[in-house]
Amino acid sequence: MQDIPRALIIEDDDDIRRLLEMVLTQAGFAVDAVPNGEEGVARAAASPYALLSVDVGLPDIDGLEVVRRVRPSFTGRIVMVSARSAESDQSSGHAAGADLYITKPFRPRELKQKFLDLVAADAS
Amino acid sequence: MNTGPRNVSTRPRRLRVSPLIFVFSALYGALAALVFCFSGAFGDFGEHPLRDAGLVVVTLISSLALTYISLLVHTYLARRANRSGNSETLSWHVMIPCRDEESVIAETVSAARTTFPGLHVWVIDDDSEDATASIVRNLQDFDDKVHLISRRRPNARTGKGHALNAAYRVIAEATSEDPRQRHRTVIGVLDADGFLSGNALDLLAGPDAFGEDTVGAVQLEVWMKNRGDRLPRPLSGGFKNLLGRTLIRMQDIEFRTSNSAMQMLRVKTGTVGMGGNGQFTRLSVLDDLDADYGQPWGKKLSEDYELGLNIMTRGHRTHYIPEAHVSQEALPFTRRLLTQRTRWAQGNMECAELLPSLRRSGHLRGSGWAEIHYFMGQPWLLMANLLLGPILFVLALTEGRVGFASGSSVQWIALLAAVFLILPYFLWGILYKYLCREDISLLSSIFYGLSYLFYVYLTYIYYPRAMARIVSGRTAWAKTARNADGTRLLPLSALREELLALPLLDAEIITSLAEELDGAEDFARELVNTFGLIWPRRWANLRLAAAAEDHTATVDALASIRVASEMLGAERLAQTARDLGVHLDAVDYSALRRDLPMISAVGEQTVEEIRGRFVTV
Repeated sequence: MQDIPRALIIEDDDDIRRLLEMVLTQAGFAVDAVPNGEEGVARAAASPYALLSVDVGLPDIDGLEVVRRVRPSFTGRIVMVSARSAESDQSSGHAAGADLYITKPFRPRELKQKFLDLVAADAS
Repeated sequence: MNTGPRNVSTRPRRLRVSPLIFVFSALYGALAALVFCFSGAFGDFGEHPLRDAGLVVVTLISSLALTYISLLVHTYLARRANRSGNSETLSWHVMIPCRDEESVIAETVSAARTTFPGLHVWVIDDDSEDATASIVRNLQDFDDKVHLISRRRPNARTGKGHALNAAYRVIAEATSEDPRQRHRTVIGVLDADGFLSGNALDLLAGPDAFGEDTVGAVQLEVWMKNRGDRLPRPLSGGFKNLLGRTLIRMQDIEFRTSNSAMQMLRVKTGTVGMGGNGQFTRLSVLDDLDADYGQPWGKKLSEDYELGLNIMTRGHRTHYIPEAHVSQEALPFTRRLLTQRTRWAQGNMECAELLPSLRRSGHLRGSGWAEIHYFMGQPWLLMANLLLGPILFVLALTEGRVGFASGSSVQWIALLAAVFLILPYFLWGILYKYLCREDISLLSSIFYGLSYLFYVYLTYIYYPRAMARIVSGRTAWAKTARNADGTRLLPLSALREELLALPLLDAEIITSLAEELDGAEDFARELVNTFGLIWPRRWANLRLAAAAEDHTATVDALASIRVASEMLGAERLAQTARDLGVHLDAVDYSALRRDLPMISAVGEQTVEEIRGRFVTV
């Protein structure tokens, strides 16, 4: 039997976090969620996640810093989901180590497809 | 929040005060004796018995104070971090006593409930005459873990302790009689403006706190949430705002440095005090107090400190966690601050009558005995210094001993001032910068250190006032007004017509959201309800960030409002957020501050619209 892929959401806004949980669950992931960066870094290091969804504006450490800390030892995909939409923000996200940078607001169906495409690319 | 098991030791740690302190105490005693008794600056020791007695008293008080402060600094610098646990192993409740708290209660409840999904919030409305109760009822529409306990006169407004006892009875009755469950149920107290840090429950559940069975009560560190406010007195000019900002910083420094160090020391001496806001107690411990005293909280003005003493008397351990905090609003007004501090001082002094039963209980060890008696005796020692200091100084002046033109005396005075009067208080400003990681310059920390020196000497004003009130039997106090009371809001007619033309909620967007979630209408409804619950917190985040002119935080707070609104089809609110974003792009904080009430009003309208459409009562 194939293992269900796991995803970790690092997002401080409760309603957005809940929406991401719904989207990722519907995309077939087993989902964990934390509201701050420090906890997210610890969880990402402790478990083998296939996907990490990281907000940029977190209450303790910046989401970019979270990605920088996690990336060296993380084998899964990292998606930054942020309201900061400038070109420079997206470049910073990729430079930190994100595989994909998605700007909020997002539509659930579109986001779900992007997550699936990203993980499918790994499988193929 | 789901937190996994952590790879940490769960063995309880017992900390002790180092015996080296006796050596330091002797050294300080010798230094103080040299300065006060044998330098000749204050008279030749042995000539006048009365003056000699005064000099000995000042020597003792000064060396005790220096010993105490050395202990505090050492404990503060050499702290051991509290370990985290899994908050899901315990049941959590917080009680929020309220009397006319309409300006802050929504954001406090919203923050507590959205930060901690498992936490029950019990608002105790002590017969408010404002909208406190209806605000809480509105939040109950979105969340079944928000509870309202309404008290009415003549049973209401009889003191905070009574209000807390009333809520205790309700929670106690709603909890299983199983002693193990009551031992695992923890009840906190929050002020109506209190925000808990996100790590609070996990640290409270850790092996140094409620993860250890003998710990009965825990106090969190206290921060000032308006510490960055650039205009804490919006109706006043530059000087008063500078004074207000400094007063707020002083309170933040006080609670996060010297007060926190006192509590860390008390962890070692076994005498951690409860401070009301951010205190947590096991239900089983409150049951014990209820059995012993007829009610957990007593009648003292400082019912929180009284509770802590009674918990210790009953043989339960108390603990302190500086790594998690509750933040509250500091007072930017000198008169209100002095009134508040006089009340606290009076309340603490009243608690001295509980010391005999604590001593008889046998639960106080030597270091605890010394700490708690020194703390309770401090007002009297301060008063002795207040009387003796000027008398001895004036005597020395009239006898020509303190000749400012003569070198040796000037040096003695400078040494005395630096070691005994300035350094012990000044250093907290520097420690604040480096240990509390506040984003302030070294110059600012020096300014705050010097200001703290004057701030600490406010004790010379409020302790005598408190003593006078005790002597005259005056115990009635008016509630301290909130900073935001009476400063809001703007009339809705000020909204632009283009804004009013936009829908508060676009039903099509919510419908399409539900469709995109594979037709899960319950999910969409849950999201909308969450928006209603979270709105007061989002508004508070924006208000606090804008007040502090913290650009990144303000951008994020505004983006959070805009994005959530856009996703739910709250178009009027989303457009208002975009409009405010223009001020932010121009870094025009006065325009942003001016328009903030607009987004508050539109946010409230949006939540009302959600309630009307989605909440079935």
